[in-house]
Amino acid sequence: MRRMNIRRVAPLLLATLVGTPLLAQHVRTLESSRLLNDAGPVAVRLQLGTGTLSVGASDAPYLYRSITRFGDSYSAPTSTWNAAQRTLTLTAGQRSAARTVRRDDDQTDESAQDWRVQLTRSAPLELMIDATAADAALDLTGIPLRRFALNSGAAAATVRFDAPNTEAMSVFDANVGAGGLKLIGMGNADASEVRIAGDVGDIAIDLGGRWQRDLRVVVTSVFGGISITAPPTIGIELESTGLLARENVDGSFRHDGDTWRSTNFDASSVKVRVLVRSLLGKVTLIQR
Amino acid sequence: MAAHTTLALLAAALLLPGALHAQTVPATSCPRRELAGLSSAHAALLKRASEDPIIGCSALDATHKSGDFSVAAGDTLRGNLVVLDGTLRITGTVTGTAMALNGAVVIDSSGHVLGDVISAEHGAAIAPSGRVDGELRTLDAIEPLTPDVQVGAVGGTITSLTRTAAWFGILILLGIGVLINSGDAMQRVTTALQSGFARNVMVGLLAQMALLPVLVLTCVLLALTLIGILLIPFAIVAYVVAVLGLLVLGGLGAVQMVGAGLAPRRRAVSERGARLQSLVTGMLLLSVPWLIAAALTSIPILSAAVGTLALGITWVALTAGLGATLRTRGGTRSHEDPWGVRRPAPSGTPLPVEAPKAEWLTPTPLTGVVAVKRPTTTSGSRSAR
Repeated sequence: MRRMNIRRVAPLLLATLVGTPLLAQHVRTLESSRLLNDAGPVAVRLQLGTGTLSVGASDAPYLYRSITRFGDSYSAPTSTWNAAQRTLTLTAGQRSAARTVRRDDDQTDESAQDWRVQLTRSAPLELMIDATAADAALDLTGIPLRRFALNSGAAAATVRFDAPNTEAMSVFDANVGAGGLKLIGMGNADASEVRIAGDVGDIAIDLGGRWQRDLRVVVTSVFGGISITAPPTIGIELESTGLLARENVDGSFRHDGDTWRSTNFDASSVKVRVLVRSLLGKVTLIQR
Repeated sequence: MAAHTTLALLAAALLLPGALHAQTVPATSCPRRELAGLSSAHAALLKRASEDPIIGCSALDATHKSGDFSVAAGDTLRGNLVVLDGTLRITGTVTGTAMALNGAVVIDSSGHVLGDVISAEHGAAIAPSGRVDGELRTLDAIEPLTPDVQVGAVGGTITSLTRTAAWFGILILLGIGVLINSGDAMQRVTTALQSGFARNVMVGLLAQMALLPVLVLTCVLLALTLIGILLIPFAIVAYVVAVLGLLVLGGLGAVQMVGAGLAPRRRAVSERGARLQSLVTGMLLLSVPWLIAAALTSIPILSAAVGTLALGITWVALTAGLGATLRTRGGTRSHEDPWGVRRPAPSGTPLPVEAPKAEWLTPTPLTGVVAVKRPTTTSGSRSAR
């Protein structure tokens, strides 16, 4: 009898695996847009299941321009425009219960879901983004935002304002899960209030930019670390409450109970008050 | 068992059923509509486009034109307009959706589309004062129907068979990984299964019923302390991973037992080779009902019935394996002495013992006899005598 040898079995197994139809990872690209007919305010909602999302501004005469690259296992992107209420809802990255056109492609490209959205610079927007499990890179520079809300799940999100917002923003809201959140140039957001709720991901807030008014920032976190960086031109006050949270400050601050206050706070024309509620995490405040 | 191996096994175990039951699902179906005056290729193209959710049934419910087409200034075309394999130029008005399938859409300055503009493959261009009230969509080319799609039933069966075979190939590879890393543990589980299958099934069944209560109880106990509350999410993850690990180890043990019963160990095969032989044989046997279910993909009722049977067999094997894994404390002890000290795993199916043959017998012991030097004489001494 011949001796059974793994070298005899391995080719058979490999042949079986290679026989799997790795053919036709069918990925489609859809570009959709809508002409901007007037400069009235619009409420825009972007909903992305999984994948990557990038948002930016556009000078083109469109309300929006969306480019989606998606695999067969995802539903086709959708858009809903309500002219009476002036609301726009765009969705992408939703898992498909049924296949789309290519029924011969059983082996789908699971990872293919990339969504780029450009929004108009010419109409004030209320922007709400639901990114369940999608990495989001949101460059909101140049988009006239009156309100902003981000709901993020397990993936990371970065929001940046590299130039001043041309509209006064009422509230900047962010609910993030485990992926963490990075805010850059929040001085340019021109918001009156920033509310951030995090679970376990790290939260980094850069308060740089051109300040026009005072700001109140409320950060709630369970586990994640919180890092706040402020320029020396603003007065900043940090009140940290938490069960096991600990603060670490770098700069010229006075400490009074749970509150840290920059020495220039009273004299500063722009005052930023930060309230941090963290169960278990490190709170870092740097002013340079 | 190595952590990576465990995770890979868990992933495979979780993904397998879903993968096996994945079926091709028809896309959007539109009401039948006569497509008079169109070539068969264009009719097929339209059918394909109408199944695309980005385009939809409006492709059928439209005025159809082949090749380049224009809506002149001052003209109004009511309803949807579809141009096939050509450029659609709109200088007038279209009250519905305007689309070019495998072509481009051009809207001049006086052009106005009240609905959407859809262009497959070649994009759309809008003059500065051109108007589109709806959405502008450009997408990839609409591919014509291919023979592979038209014979989808056969293709689906072949794909299902290939996928099933591939998954079992992956499981065999994972089993080999476990065999290499934790062969002794798997052997203890197999031995426990051989000692009494029904008892293991009962233990496994009880364990399955206790899974959720134990998890809840663990969480409740952890919630009694502050640190415990923080540990609850980690405890849940660890619990799930541990249970799935036990299931996989038990399942592979059951597979090995089935294989050992079918293919008795041969004399020339090494211990590890015998285990591998049992594993592969058992896996092939258990894959048979799944392969039959896949082969019957074109007959959904039969496929579902055989698939259910295969699922039942697999579940019994997993349940028995779980019971045996618990009885052997995760393959670390003998099932006969689960609380005892660790011992080397028993060997697999014992080698057949043959009586020694007569020609090899010898009365002379090979060792232990001291050789005595035989006395010798020399010629010189003889002459002296």
